[in-house]
Amino acid sequence: MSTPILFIGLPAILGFALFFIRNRQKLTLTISMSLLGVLCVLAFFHNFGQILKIGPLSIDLGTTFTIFGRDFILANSDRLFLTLTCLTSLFWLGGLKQAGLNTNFVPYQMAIMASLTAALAVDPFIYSAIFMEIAVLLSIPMLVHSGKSLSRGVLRFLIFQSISMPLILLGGWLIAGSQASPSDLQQLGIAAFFLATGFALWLAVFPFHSWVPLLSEDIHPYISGFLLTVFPQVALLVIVDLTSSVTWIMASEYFGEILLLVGTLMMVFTVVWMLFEKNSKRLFGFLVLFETSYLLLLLGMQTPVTLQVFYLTQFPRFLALLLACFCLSVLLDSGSTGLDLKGSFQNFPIASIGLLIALFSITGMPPFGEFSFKFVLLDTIGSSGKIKAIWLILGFTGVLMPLFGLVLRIFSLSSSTIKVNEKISQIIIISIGIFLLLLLGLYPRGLLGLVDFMFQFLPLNT
Amino acid sequence: MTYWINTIPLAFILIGCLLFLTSSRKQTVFGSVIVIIAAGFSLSIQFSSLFPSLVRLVSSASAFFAIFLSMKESDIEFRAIPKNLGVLRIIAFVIFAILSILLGLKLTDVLQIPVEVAIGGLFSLFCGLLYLGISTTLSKLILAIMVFYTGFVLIFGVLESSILVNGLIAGVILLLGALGSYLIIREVMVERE
Repeated sequence: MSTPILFIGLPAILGFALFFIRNRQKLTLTISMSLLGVLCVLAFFHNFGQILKIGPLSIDLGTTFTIFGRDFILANSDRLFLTLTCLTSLFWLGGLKQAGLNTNFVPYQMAIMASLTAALAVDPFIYSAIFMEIAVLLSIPMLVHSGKSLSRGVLRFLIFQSISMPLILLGGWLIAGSQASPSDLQQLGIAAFFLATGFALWLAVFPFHSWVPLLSEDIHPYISGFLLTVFPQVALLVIVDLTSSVTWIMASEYFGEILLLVGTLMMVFTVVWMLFEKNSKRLFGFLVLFETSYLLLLLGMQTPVTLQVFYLTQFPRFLALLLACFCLSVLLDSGSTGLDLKGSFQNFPIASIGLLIALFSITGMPPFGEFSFKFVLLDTIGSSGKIKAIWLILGFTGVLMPLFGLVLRIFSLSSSTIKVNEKISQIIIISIGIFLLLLLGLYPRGLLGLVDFMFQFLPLNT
Repeated sequence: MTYWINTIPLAFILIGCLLFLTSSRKQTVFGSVIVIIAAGFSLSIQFSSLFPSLVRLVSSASAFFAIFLSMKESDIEFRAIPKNLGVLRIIAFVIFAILSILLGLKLTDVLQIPVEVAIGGLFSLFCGLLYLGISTTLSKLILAIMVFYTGFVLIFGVLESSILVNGLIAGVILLLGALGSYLIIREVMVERE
């Protein structure tokens, strides 16, 4: 038995099996959530490579699975990622029914998670691109809504992600070849171009960003929330994997500078587009882009602290994004609220408050989840030049303007009576989300203490 | 060029791409794609192992066949292309073809692959890319992605001989074919509703 079999093979097989019983809603949900719960506990507590003891049973849990001469490795350095993806999936599945969706999506979700985990586990890293593409193709049936034509956003998502696979494969192949002779600058330049374009398509970096707001506008917010949470997350971790495995990239003085430049540009452009946006679904898409730009900036800083924050911030990030998409589902599925959410507080006060807290958490407002992590970036960016800091401050203040507009729209009441139309289960889910975001915001060291032991395995050295 | 005889499959790819871009007849479009795949296979088999080349050929042909069948069953036709637009597409492709030759010569040095593979792959790759840019219907977009992949696979297949990687790429192409068929049938059902 090995960790790749447990974390990739088992979810993939289960996803396939669940496809045939997907109409049995409770059973499908119970099985998938149980498996994810067990895997999450295993990733968090068990030291990979050691014998796993469950009562009288002893399982030798290896970290490598070899097939046709290629390795899939899930070692201790991947435990944080595994905990994160399992938690994301678990939380998403937990709110699936209350968000108004049925369990038909569960098999696809399991298969997507298996494919994305394989993307991070495969060695050499360049083959990640193939698994990412498989995950994209598996996600398309989730994006098709009954009785509706395939939307432009979905098509763009498919096109952009499909184009990225060849670029990353070719770039990765050249990088692997250049490890032997890093002096061939022409080859390195071409490899860097291919990889940069491929990653830009993955992460929806300007000018390849258009599919994100379109996708979030065209499909159910809970599905777009899941995809826009996990895809950039895995793509960024693959980038970290690549940079830590290719020494000359880490050593290059341009790498950090390029990431900082791309992150700053992405943040500024996103904020400019957001200023004119009133559609709450598109606003959510733009906030995902804003979040990605912030993560790129953290990576670009290349200090041990910012890299640590890069990993830590993934927790409040996924919580805030999932809470936002859940609240959006509650608000928009009712049919009584328009896409601009005008007056939504009157009929859905809890969901409206939950949405605002999640969105403000993403922007780094105190005292919510991401405040302390965004503060670290603002605190350290000054060392890399004053101009970047100015752009960043403009970005962080600019992103608040459309959100304040949203606050005004949400609270524009036509009468003084406020009705709570959310179901009890929805209120519980939203309350848990708000509580966790507040907890992470007020007590960030708690999270650090919880996952601190995992940092010794992560590539944090610059 | 490594073997001058390879100008023949290259010419086939070029003509296949032109027909693919300009024709609105279903049979011609799919016929041209099959010509591109077959010519690509004849190039690929000379410079890479037989088994991976065969796997790629079978998977690509199956995927296109699946889409063709679903379009035939659903009675879908491509919209007729006006003459002016056809001419514009030919001009665009000629520009891309020249670019392919120039880039192919460069790529030969960088990737250390035969020039006919580089040029053939780039012809198909750019054809797919061009088609992606100008098409709006679902069936055409899926076909465009697949033609794009056909070109890429021709180049990458010579570079990478791993069974797992070739198998996975073949899997991606098959998955794309299956997904394309499903989406095309679904689209027709939605329109009929």
